[in-house]
Amino acid sequence: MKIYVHHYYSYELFWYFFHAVTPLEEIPTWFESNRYNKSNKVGEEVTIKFTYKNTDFTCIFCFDLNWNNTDGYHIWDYTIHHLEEKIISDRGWNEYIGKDLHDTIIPLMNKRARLLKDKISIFFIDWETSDDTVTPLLNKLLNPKITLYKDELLKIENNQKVSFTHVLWSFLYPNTIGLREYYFFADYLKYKNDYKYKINYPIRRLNKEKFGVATEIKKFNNPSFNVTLSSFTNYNDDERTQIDADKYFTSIMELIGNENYINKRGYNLKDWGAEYNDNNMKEFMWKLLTISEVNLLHESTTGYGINEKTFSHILANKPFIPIYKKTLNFYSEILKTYDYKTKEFPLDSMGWWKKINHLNDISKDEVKWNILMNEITEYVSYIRKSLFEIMNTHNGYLDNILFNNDKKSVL
Amino acid sequence: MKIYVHHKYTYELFWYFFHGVKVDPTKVPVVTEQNRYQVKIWNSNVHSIKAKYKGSDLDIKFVNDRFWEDESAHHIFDVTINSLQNGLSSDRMFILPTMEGFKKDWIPFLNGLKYKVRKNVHISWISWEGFNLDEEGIDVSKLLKEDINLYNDNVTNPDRTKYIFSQSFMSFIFPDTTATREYYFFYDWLKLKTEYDYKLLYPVRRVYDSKLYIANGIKKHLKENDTLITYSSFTDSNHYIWKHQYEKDYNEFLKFPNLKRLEKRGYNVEDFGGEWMKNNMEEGMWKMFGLAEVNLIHENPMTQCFSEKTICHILAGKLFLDVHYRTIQKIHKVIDLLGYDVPEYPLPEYDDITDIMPWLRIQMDDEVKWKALTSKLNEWLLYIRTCFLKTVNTKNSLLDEIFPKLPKNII
Repeated sequence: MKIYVHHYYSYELFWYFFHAVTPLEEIPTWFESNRYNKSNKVGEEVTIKFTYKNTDFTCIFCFDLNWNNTDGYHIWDYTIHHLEEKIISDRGWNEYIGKDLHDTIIPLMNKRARLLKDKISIFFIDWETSDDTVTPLLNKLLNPKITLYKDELLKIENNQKVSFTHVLWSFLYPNTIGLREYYFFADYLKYKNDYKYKINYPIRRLNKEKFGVATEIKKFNNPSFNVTLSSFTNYNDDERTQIDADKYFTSIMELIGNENYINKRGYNLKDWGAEYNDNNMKEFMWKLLTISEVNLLHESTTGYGINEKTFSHILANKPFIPIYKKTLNFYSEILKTYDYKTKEFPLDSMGWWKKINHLNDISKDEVKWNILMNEITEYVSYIRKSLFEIMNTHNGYLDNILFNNDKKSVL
Repeated sequence: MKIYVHHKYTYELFWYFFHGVKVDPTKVPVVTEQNRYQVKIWNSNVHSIKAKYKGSDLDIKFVNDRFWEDESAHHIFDVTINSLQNGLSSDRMFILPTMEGFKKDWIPFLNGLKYKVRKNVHISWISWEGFNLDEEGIDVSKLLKEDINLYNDNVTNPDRTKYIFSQSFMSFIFPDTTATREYYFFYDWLKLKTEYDYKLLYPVRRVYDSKLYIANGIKKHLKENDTLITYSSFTDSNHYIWKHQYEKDYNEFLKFPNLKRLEKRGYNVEDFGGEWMKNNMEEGMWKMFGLAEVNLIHENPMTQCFSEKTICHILAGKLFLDVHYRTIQKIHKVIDLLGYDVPEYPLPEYDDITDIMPWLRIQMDDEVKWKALTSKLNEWLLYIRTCFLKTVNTKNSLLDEIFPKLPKNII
């Protein structure tokens, strides 16, 4: 089977699209065009043969060429396209995302679908769950013959699918935010056993909700239960955040003290720069995984998707506790889909208020605390191991091509 | 004092050129209209930053290609940064296009400036390669008019080129093109690891005659259980240009018993990709620093500069010996130039490491002696690390050259 990938070749993109396959030749890296500058586009067609689940495949990375070839499947990824055009520099939220869908992307892809019919697939993986504009637009206007691969378990309509393996790999390749490093970091994180706190609630972008959680935590006056705030809040002039930040900044600083203010703009080597996802993730790995035994994470995907917060912790094998119920449902769905045993996360049945109260109590009892930590550690390790087994042996997109299970939208 | 930097602006470039100055890091801009959604964009607008250095006010402006005619300002231009800015390369290495571009486009332009401007023009070429700027084939110091100031990263130079330590050191950190900055933060984690499978590792990326010679010395004098020799899969890839020239040496090398092949091209997440320096440095950190207590590195004894090999070990606080004592002498020379006391080195002086391998064997065979040696080596290394970091956080070699009348001018 032939698959046309409408992007410029890189070995990272090969793994992103075709993880879990057995390549029949070496996966190339160097070309005349990128030998001295690895970020240069490879402006030549690159063909690689591989097998997957006893089927032979040929993938052809051919950027904007070959759209008229009807002898194979065609794939295109919205974010990768914008990365290639240098409009954005990482996956995740960006003001540009979605803006060109109505007038440019959807009409263009619909036009291509007239010829290619159901042989065309688009990946729309933005690590943002349940937005009000992009998803309805795609649902309404995109030709239903096109298979749309999205990253949320919400409103999966028409010919839409969720390829879990692509969602997971999108965090690693292309490695735009340094998340791959968390995977290797696990080998060293395991040696640390002298944390200052038992629990830390790290806030990067202050808002009403997070202020509320922080206030409740500080009411405990528990020296093992800490809250940190990134300096992000103080200098960013983004309208989305500034109102909340201004409103709560002074109050939270009174609660947490200067020692828990994480200064992103340090001197010289310690300057982590601006609020880009890669700077944030690097800063988090080297500085914020060191503070407490377990991190209390405020991920708001409510289980319909995932973002870099929980997945980075899983990669690093770092114990964490989600603030909300069901945050980890997405991971459970992955395990279920691939016939892995699911595990209930400790404390998952509790709402955030009950959860932090319980944590406050339990952190004062060493025996109970150690039991909880063991349970969380075991959970995170199990998820990490299982996800990598799945990521290395399955490919949601190829499974869909091969087994064409129309009823199964989640792969 | 007015200083024009003739490059586009990034906060990383600010630190590269102006580390050691007094400045509030939050006043070093990061997000601008041009790079707000794309971190990799270098800002072409004029950026002004006020700072103080040794009591003098600095009026720093990143002006890119503007204002070269200003006779009242100092003009800074870095050959490699120019290459990066123009996309010729993606990291700091000597490459032909960098030199050719500089000779063709810049030397005639710089020579054509008025004398009053030329005497305040400061050109640096920090390449980590160790060539002299008057070398045949390079000829930069011969071609550029005498009154233009030249700097590089060679501790000694046969011509008028001056050594600038702090910019040379900071070139490994900012712009962070090779992930060497991560080794600085890795230090906190590496020290947690106390158990290693081997006492000594000799890591070889490319096999050739002098490496075979050292490996033979290891085989002859040191115990197999204590030592490991690794070689990178790169050495038999088609990208290695000396592959056939050293085929005989390679075949001999493969006969060593305590040998481990490091597969750079692992599967999926374990794939470290092509032979770009960033990929190599990432592989080095995650895959090679955890193998043995001490790394035996093989620097080119003839070069007068430091390469990423030595610097990454110093940054990470990873114990290392060098195949040639000259590297140690070079470090001591710089320590002396910086005004610090030269520390005692815990190994006897040697030409190449095989001279003292019988002595090394005695230390390795006796746990007490080995512990004492590694402890002294650690003390030596941390002293060097502290001196280097203290220097780049408080001093600036280029500014000391530009304003020689400033007190406590070191180099």
